[in-house]
Amino acid sequence: MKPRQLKIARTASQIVFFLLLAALLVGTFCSVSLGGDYYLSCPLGVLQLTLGAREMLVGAVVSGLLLIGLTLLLGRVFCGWICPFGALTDWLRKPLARCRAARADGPALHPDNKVLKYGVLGGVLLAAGIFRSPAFCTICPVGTTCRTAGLQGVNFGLETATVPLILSLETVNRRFWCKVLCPIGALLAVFARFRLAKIRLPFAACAGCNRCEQACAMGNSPRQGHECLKTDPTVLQALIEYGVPDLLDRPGQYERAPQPLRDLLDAKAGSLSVSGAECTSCYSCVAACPVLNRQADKSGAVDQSAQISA
Amino acid sequence: MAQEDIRVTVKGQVQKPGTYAAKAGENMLDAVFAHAGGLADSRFSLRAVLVGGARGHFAAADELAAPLTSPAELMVVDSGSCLVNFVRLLFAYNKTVQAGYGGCPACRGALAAGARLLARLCTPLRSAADLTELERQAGVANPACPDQCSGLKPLASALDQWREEFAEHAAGHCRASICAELMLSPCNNACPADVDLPGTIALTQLGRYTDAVALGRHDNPFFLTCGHVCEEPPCQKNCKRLNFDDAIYSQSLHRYAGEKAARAAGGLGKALTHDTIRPGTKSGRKVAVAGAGPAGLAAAHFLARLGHKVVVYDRNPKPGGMMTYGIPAYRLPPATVEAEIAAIAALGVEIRGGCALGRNITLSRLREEYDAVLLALGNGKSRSLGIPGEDLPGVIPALDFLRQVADTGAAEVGRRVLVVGGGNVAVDVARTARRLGAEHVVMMCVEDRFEMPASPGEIQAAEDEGITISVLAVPLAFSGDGRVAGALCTAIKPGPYDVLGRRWPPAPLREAGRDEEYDTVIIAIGQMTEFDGLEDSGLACTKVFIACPDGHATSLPGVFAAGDCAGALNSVVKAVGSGKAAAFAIDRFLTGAGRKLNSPLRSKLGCSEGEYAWAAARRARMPEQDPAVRVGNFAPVELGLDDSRAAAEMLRCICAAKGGRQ
Repeated sequence: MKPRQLKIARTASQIVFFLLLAALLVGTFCSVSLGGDYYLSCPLGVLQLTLGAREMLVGAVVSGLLLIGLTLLLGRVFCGWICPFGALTDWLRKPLARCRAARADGPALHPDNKVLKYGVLGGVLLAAGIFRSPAFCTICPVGTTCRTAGLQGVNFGLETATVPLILSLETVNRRFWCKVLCPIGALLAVFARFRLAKIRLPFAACAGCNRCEQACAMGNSPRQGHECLKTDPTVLQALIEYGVPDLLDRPGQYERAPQPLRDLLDAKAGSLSVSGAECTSCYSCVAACPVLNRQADKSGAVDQSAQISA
Repeated sequence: MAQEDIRVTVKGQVQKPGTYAAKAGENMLDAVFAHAGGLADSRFSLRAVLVGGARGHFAAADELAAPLTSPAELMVVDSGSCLVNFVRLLFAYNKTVQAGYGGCPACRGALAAGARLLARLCTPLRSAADLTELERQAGVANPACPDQCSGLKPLASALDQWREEFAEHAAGHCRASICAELMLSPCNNACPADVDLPGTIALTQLGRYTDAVALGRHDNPFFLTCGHVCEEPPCQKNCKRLNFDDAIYSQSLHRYAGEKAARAAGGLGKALTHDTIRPGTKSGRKVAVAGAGPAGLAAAHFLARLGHKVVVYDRNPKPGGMMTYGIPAYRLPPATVEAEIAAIAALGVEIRGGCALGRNITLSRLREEYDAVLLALGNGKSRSLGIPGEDLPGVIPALDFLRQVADTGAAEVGRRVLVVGGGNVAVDVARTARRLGAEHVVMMCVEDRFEMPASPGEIQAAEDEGITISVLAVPLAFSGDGRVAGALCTAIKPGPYDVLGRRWPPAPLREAGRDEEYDTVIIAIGQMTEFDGLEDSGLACTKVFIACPDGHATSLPGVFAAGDCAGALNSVVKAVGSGKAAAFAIDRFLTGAGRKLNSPLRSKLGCSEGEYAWAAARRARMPEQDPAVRVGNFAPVELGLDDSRAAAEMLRCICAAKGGRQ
């Protein structure tokens, strides 16, 4: 798949799931009937229910585990490809960016505290235990996005205010909610770090252009693998043997390096990946990478091994 | 008696890495430049030679020039590498890869601490304390260590020789534009005038041409002049695009933005007025600037914006210095310089032409009348060869010749012209002489082709115009009856390699002399500062420059120096950078506060603003006048990029500079 097509595929997925969850499927995302006794449920909702009820409801736990299984396989695809609130923030990116630019001269905030959401997760679970009900669900922006309008009717309750309120936080930073506060994301992140399918960028040929970092809505540093490669002992040994320890820092030197050295670098780079707990698998970094774009230009399509490998 | 050859292994940034047999008496420079074929990339110069691998030391200048005595392994580092980063990687290697290195507890500890500190120095976490601590760790020595603590040797020898590069890192600047986290973008980092290039390109892409020019002129008041004359600009040395093909052709984009802005505003003068560039609130302080060249006028521009009253004195009737009198019109249209100088004058800067230091005004008078004085005298005097016949009529110093052409538009050169010198001024002179009707123009220089200081593009353009380049040759004497008629020239034997890879000093082979006939001889072998009117002022000078031990302050309080007279710069953009730094130094001297100028346009946009599209194109080719036609006129040789070429060139920028994020 060409990098650009990935972007289109993701937008298509977001639209489909938005329509499905917010409008068509009765029951909304929090628990969607898959037919018969099978449900797809929000794992956080299930966890709150379990804590609130103080007993294991086997059916609910199984339906909550579906999404966790998906996360273990593909990472937080829920956040990047399914979540209707996440989709909303992506679609409103431009007007929100304009608001951000307008308030750029205001007081500086340092809101990128990604650990905060684990605290929120703890708080949510504690509240569920104390109040004996899934209290967070009433103000959950993901749930309220699903519940506000659709075939099940239009909601005019207080919770309607949640979505615009949380969206306004986006004027602080891109995907502020997802990055800093979202307890669902935090729960999925716990499992996403063990994901099987990893995203790889061409770290050995990295031009250091920073486009991936700029493209990442979650504020991650996808090119970190390039930094790891530089100080890898085997790589360093080979580079010093070749006489250019800083080869990976110098523009154009990788292309001129002898083939065995490039093979070693490529092999090492293949063992590094961008994804971790904070990656929503949106593939923006892959789509933005000029090295991959260039390879795609040369070969007609991106070499799959350079991009996604299980 | 034949002595045994010494085996030298050369690797790193050289043309032909490998193991060579060096003859007795050859030194490391011979190994690098003769055996290994010189540096791999001609854009860079030799920076350092690491002797003995990762646990070796960086050779000092005298070691490089001393004859080799034992087999050696040389790792060649060119000026495109950041030494701090280089040592960081060596330390990371020495720390983790054992490879027979045991060391002692003391040096293992120092290695671990040093690796951590060096890594910090390459990121925004750096501080001056890191450098102090690093120096302490580098000094660790344990005589009982089985490996003589050799793992620390690269750092100790690098700190000995290039401490200033480490200090720059501690202050957050990487001169090689390698440590990406310390900078906005490599181009902005390398620009001597600190122009926000990603921002100007983004604004040009968005069609906001006047804003683009204003953002450029916020940092460089001669932005459009540089658009014409920035040759081999520093911003293109470590451009990220070099990963794929050629660097971004940024100076042509400045020029493009300027031309579009002028067309939109209905005149270049109007295009240069912008809300963001205004005189500052009046401070009541007065500053005199001696010399209206790029350094002096740039300083005046920034001082006026900081609110000081500035008067610029120049000995020539017209301001602009080398930009007006040195650079020929076919490279730089006079209208561009005039418009940019007018824009500086519009800030309230008073420019008094025909006022020479020493003749009409003295330094002591200026010191009495003004709160601060900036000397930006430039290098206005041509060097002479010191050979017989140099005083004959028809033997002209380069600057006198260029000045006469700039003033009158003509000069009598005859049919055959000899230009002595191999720099950019020599090329300017030769191409000007060609345009004045000389049919046979010879550029004679002591260097070989690859050593010539002139930029390759200029040499190519000169050859296209039918100029002959005679390398490895010098004139020994000029002869003629009443006017120069011939020159006795000879081949030379190059001297030993110096650290720049140039063979110096050359020795003329006197027996191979030949007589050549010329109607005019122009000497373009370099310039120097004229110290007229400064002799009895008490100003401390080195042999050729005004002494400014750190920064721009001279030995006299309140007197500052900038531009070519404070150190060799040789380009407009470096002179602007020097003038700019001097202006802020003067402001600090006058107000006691470290003020800065801000532009609402700066650091807001990166090249990737808008939808990013991958462009597979190579660098745009600059359309030029046909060589057969252009030798008959002084119209600009480079015609400027058209819309489609400029658009393609801007899309080539792959670097998502941190613009807008910092």
